[in-house]
Amino acid sequence: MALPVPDDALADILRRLPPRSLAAARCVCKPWRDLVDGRALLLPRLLGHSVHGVLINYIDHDRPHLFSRRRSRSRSRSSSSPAASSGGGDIDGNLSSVPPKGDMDWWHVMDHCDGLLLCAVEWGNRLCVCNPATRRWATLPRCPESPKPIRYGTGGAYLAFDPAAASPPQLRGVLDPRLAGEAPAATTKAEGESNHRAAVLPGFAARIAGRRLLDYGGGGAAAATISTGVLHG
Amino acid sequence: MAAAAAEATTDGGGKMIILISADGKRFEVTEAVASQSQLISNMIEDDCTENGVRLPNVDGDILTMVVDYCNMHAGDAAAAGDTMKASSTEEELKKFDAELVQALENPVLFKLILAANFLNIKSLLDMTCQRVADMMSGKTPEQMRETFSIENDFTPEEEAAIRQENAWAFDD
Repeated sequence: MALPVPDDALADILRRLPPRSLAAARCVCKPWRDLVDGRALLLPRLLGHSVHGVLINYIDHDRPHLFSRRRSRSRSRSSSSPAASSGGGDIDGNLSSVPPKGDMDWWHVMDHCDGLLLCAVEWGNRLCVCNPATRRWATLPRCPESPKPIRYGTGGAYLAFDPAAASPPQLRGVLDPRLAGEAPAATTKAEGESNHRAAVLPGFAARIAGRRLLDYGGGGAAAATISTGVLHG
Repeated sequence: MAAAAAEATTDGGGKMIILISADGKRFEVTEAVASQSQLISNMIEDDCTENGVRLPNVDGDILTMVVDYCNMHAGDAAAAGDTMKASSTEEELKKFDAELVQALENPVLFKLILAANFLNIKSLLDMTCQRVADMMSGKTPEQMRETFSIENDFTPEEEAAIRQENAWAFDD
């Protein structure tokens, strides 16, 4: 049997747990699982509640735009970022500085996570992670696990972060469902329903404005499981 | 008035309230002490405490702890009786609270949560809920079940599935 306390008190108890322990508590018994799910105790830890802006990819236009309120207090600006410390920090809606002009004609945003953008650049042949607030960016290496070059469309790759880590969330890597079976696999669950098999694109580590992309090592057996609701798109 | 018998008056002039536990034990406390319970505070406002407040779902031993707690936190020496000091410093209160919840066996702790929830004493509910949360924190589902004697009602398949959903919590 469950604890001899009313649901309200149990919810009060569970709400005090750190994310990892709350997730463990969800696996204890059905009443606890139903309470955690019914009151959405776990999801607020994983997802933000406010919309800071809208990113739009166009058909037949070679770059996306960001529509957002001016000077929104988004977490995308860490206090140590050059843009913030120089008194700036507003993100240019044209995203004109990221990725840099020149060799990156025709690009679009594939995913975003905690202020970082995952972009398909070089006509969709490469992936690039950008922080539009700091105007820093890093092009990811080609996936060594894939036998042929991957052409990215407007979806299919995702930024993922570790929901159990303390803030700021640490990015765990880039997931590409199409690489399943060819690379270390990770089971992900998007939108709470459909299961996707996805691969962690291994072999990169980059530091962008204090956020670390964790290196999964050279094709090792690293696998990540991303909990319900973490993936966008 | 007939009700006057149950309404003793202290030297300080505060009205006394009689609390009656499920097993008939009677506790005499000042309004200030009793008002820490939102439930009783509302009853005092509504003027329906003249004949004592019956608490049919709180046992005498639990109500003893609740009254001790409220006496301590009201900082009311007149009502606190002989065993309590005249004024409680913050440090003493912390020590008192810590000793109160640390010493409790699980069944008593849960009864105290029930009483705090029923009487609506927020600080006591906070403290007892935090104690249970501290006992859960960092434990695996198996350890949590063992700690609180909870039956695992998942089938093996269901358990494998739910652990998979939250597998990020089981890394390392």
